[in-house]
Amino acid sequence: MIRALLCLMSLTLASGASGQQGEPQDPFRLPRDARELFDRQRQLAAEEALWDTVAARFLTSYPCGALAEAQAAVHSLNRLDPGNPDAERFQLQLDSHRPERLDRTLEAARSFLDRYRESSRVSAAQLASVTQLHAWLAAERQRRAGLRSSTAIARWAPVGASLLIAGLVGAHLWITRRR
Amino acid sequence: MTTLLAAALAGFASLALEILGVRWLAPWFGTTSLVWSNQIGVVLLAMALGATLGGRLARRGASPLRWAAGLLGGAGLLLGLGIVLLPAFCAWLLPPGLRLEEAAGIALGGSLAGALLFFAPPVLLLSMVAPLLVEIRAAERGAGRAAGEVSAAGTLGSLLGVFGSTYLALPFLGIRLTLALLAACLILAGSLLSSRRRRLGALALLPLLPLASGDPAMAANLPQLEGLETRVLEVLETPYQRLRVVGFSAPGNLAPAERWLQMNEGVDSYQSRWQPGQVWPGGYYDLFVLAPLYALHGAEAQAPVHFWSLGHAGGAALGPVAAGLGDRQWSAVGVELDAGALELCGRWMPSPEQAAARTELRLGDARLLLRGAPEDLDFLLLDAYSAQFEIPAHLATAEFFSETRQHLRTGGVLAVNLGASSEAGTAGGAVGGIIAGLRLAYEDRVRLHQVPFSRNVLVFARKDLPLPPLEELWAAMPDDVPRLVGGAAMPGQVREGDDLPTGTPFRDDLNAIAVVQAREWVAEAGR
Repeated sequence: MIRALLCLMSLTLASGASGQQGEPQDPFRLPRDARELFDRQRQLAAEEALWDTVAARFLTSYPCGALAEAQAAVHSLNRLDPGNPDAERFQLQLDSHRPERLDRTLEAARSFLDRYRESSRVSAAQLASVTQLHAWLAAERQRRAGLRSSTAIARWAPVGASLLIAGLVGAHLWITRRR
Repeated sequence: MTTLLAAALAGFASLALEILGVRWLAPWFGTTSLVWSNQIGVVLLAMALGATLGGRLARRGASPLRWAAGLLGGAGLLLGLGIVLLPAFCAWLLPPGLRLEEAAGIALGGSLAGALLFFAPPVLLLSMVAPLLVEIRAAERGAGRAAGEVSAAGTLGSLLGVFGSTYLALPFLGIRLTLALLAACLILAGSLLSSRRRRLGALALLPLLPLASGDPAMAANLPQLEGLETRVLEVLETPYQRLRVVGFSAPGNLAPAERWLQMNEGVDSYQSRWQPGQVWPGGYYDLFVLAPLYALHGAEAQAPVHFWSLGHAGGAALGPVAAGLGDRQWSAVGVELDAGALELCGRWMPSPEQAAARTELRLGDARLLLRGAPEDLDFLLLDAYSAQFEIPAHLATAEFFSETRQHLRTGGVLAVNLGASSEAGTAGGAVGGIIAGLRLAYEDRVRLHQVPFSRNVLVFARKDLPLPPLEELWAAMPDDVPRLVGGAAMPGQVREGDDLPTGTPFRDDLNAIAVVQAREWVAEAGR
């Protein structure tokens, strides 16, 4: 049951805004608006910290941009079941928003796919969502490499331009020197 | 007389290049204080070097008039070449898909290199002309008188260059046409002074040729939204900035999904945002719904509400604010410095009719106009930027925040949008300095909301009354508010009290915000 719901959420997260309309009884559904987010968070905070409840906290906080709450939920999930692939997957989602962790997150996503590609602990849909995330991270790393190169060129371009002008002035001085 | 006209033309062209140069670079690198400093520094350096070289050349005694003619014509040709090469150079430096925080580091070096390559050489040549002209006139009138007359003519030309650029060229001719005409005039002047007039005069047409093709700056740093096509709908040069409206639509579908008003370098940032028929424009604008919720907490139930929006542009905040006000009667004043922004937004991003009917637009500086505001406003929205990520210095000081406080009723709220780098939370940053200024005016009644998945924060400061606890804010939240606003109101995204970023407040007479912000953004780009 839990696996099925997480699988559903995995699809929801992977498909972004298309998952806005959830069934009312679905505890992992995306909140329809801010008010529903508050109601759900209040309700979940009052419940016992079981796996489902904490996972629901993550799955309602994260898509709403409440990243601190989502991170706290992942920590709780790790305490409840260390090494659980869903908690690992959620952490990957969170880390993908931290540019300074890009390389580490890309490596973690690759490691996740290597470990669980053949595993029955992770559904095909969950694997697909991590595969998609991994592809995005790889593209982002490539983009950042291009950016670093452009930044380096921009940093040294004034030096090159100054040398060019100095060369032209020097040539002018040499040509017009007193004989 | 010919020599004086040549001196005036050289002075005119030098200063026009200084002013227009920044605006020419703006679509790629923006017009931050650092870009201006680069440009002014490079032009002054080129002037000094040119004057030295010109003086040396004059002493050689070999036909100074011929040299002056060649230098004027050469400056025109270099400028004409720049019209073709500068856009290609800028586009080469800036990779597609840039974010604002990433563009800052490239903009600093890129604008300096651009100024050195495309403005320093023509200005250097132009500055060599005056000593040669002094040499020519000195033979008849004496060195002192000749130097004085040439200097006066050059300064008058410079004066025309400054005012002509701002008040005539930018609004009526545009940058490219002005620069092309300037280049053509320089070549023509050079040919008139030279003995080979006819042959050289024909070269004056060369700088006009690039005008036959479209303006490459139109599509500079074009933003992309996933699954949508981006189109430039209109570009407008105003006395303050270059404005552009970009539209996003589904491939093959002309119906707009979204439109942004962008200034200068654009990238992924906007000055106003619009979606057809939508109350919620998205992004940080949606969080302005919190302003009425904070301000009306504990207030009389049905009293009409009046507020001012400083840095109004297209009034994107009005929809969320109106949603927060519900059925209450309200009226607003929207203050905008740039008439061009109002013009473009009116054409491409119209406010909903009801909101527009309740909002009076006023043109002018926010701080100046606020002094004429009533002293019982319910809330004030502050969303003013002078150059993409630069908060105007005079709207970030403790003194200004004290002035805002004077115009709020007890319990009234100031809501400020701040584009922050990831260093926003560190001590000594721009956000820390602004919050320190807010705390001097509003004491501890200041709260920061991180905008989800964004570099922006919204800061709320309340006059004399405490900000309500988050639980009470949640209870006051109307239906259908986007869930991202809910995310921003969760405790983990909210900072107040000792958890707020700290810094030294900016003052009217001691204000380093431009440098602090530039340092932060450049550091961000280097990460």
